[in-house]
Amino acid sequence: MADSLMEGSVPELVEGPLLAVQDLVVSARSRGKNIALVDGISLAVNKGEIVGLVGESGCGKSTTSNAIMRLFPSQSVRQTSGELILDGTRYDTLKPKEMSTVRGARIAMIFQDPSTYLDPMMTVGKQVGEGLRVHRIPGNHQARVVELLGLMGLPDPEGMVHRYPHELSGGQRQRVLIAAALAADPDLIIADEPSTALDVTVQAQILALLRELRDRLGVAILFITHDLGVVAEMCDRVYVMYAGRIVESREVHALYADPRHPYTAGLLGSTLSSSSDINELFSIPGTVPDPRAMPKGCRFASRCPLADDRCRTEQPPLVAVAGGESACWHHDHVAADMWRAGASGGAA
Amino acid sequence: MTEPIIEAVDVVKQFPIRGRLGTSKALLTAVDHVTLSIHPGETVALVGESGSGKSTLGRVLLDLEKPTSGEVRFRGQGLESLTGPARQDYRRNVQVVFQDTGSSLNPRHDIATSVGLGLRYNLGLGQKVADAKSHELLRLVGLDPDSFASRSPLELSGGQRQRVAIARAMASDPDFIVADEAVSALDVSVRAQVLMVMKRLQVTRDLAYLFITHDLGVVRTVSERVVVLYLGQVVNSGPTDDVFGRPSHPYTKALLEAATVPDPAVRGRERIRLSGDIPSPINPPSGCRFHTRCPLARERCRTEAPELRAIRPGVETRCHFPEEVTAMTAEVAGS
Repeated sequence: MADSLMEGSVPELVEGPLLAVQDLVVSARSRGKNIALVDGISLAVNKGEIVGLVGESGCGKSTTSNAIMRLFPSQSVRQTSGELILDGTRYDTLKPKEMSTVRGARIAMIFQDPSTYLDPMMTVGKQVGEGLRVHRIPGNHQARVVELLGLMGLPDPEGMVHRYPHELSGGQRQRVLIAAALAADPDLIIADEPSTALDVTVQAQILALLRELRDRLGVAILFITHDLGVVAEMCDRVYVMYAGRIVESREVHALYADPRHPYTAGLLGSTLSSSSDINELFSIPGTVPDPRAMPKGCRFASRCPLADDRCRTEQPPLVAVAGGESACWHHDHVAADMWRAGASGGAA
Repeated sequence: MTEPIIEAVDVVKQFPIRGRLGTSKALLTAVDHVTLSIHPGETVALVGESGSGKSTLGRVLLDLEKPTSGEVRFRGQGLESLTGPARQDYRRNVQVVFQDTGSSLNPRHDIATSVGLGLRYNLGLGQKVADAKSHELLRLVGLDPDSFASRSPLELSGGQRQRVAIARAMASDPDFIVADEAVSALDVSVRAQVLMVMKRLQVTRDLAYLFITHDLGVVRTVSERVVVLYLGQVVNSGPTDDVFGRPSHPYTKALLEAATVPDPAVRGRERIRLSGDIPSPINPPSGCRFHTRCPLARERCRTEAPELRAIRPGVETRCHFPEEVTAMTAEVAGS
């Protein structure tokens, strides 16, 4: 493998991250203007690490994952600056054809709705084996497919090979999709809301499976989700995105116990299972700014109880806080319960 | 106690499964002898996995599906016997908010028109009065009519559209609303906002809700009573605090423990993990329907179907060994 050059004498700590995204800007071209959907974000995923990328709809988290996979939804959306580095090698400059040595082989992806990504006319065995064929993996493909299906905890893997997606339950389909993603033995899996469409009982099984795969195979996972419960169960580190930027990046325990960005504190506080009483519930007032008219200063300022003149005019950089970084001018004044104590009453 | 606003009495709903050439192959029992009543001002949650029959039961209460047997009663009167003005009265008083409001709002109508149509049809109001009232309803759900009334649904965010759907359901001043996964697709901060709007409307108008959801966080937050469905049957029901606080059915316990908790400190906690998926309702398991996935299952469960029975005042369970489930809970909580 390509990464063997990097290994050997280099001690673990000095080794760079598996995936590094640096100052990534992804823009959509609309009416002759570039609109930044993702605006200068940097993130890293280390080997064997589970990293969360959280945010609400429209924050740019899926655009980021598409950029990492080099899969843009249309011609008008493209990376306008920044670098993507896998294991020390820049790959965003690869030609589309060369990209197939990365996509599926080194970085694989699993999606929210498995039924959309499985071919209904193709047997499970063929779909899982496709990755082995495409990436010309040597060895007995049939045996490897059965092994993968077994690894996914699917019953009767030999028989499963001959079945079609419609014969499977939602949870089984998601397992097949994960098996297909793992076929070429990737170093990193991008999981875009892989458990959102599933029932809680099945979701728990899929999350346990993903964690087990990390522990056994050492595969790193970048988890794209809006679900803070899932992040708390799964991730080692978390990036919180808001309006196309990363506003907080923390070790998972630090993030939940002591958020250092008002947006994170608001998200955590409006998560339902944490409050069993509707009278204690609150929501963040206002709405996400329009990407066509982003404010000059902090993008969260119009909704933030801590905002002052500086917030409205100067964009806060990410600065070091305990267990990570926060992009807030007032990060030392953020408290987990700041919304409850402050402006919450007005909304109800 | 006051008279229930709506009741399902021993409701069964079956669907024929067509084989090749349209021959009837089998019957799928989606709802299997369910009895349920909802009182004015009350919020009841209906929970279960997909395939449990929860949405079908909602559709039966809304008269979108006719029950195969059993009866739905509105203020004590069977729906079948409601005709003329009484039927109109039912239609006006029972409303629904679905999950996917994107597809249930007409993109050619502006928001005020979408909300106002119900007023004109159900209440027979003229255009002018309907417009004024629809502006008032938009204000009620926290959307400023001056900026929203003339917008198309395409120009709204998911949370805003959901609030329009609520405003529309409120238009006929109903007594009962079925909320079928009404907040499931929303982002957390918006979800909280929509739930608060719904709660406020309930308090001011004595509304009753049936929340159909798989999100136990929502259930805990909004509902006084919860009904747990498994393969079309009620397996557990009662006050939410009691049913969730002292689980007396292994399925309820498994649902609770499967739910993720937004706190990494409780990771790796003790829990039942259900294997497999919900079995097919075309051919449900023998005995207790849950025995194929139940960690407590034994011979009796495979052969003898448990009855739904009261174990505490107001709490019912369909399990042969509810004490064992509760004991498990106490153990985990105590450790």
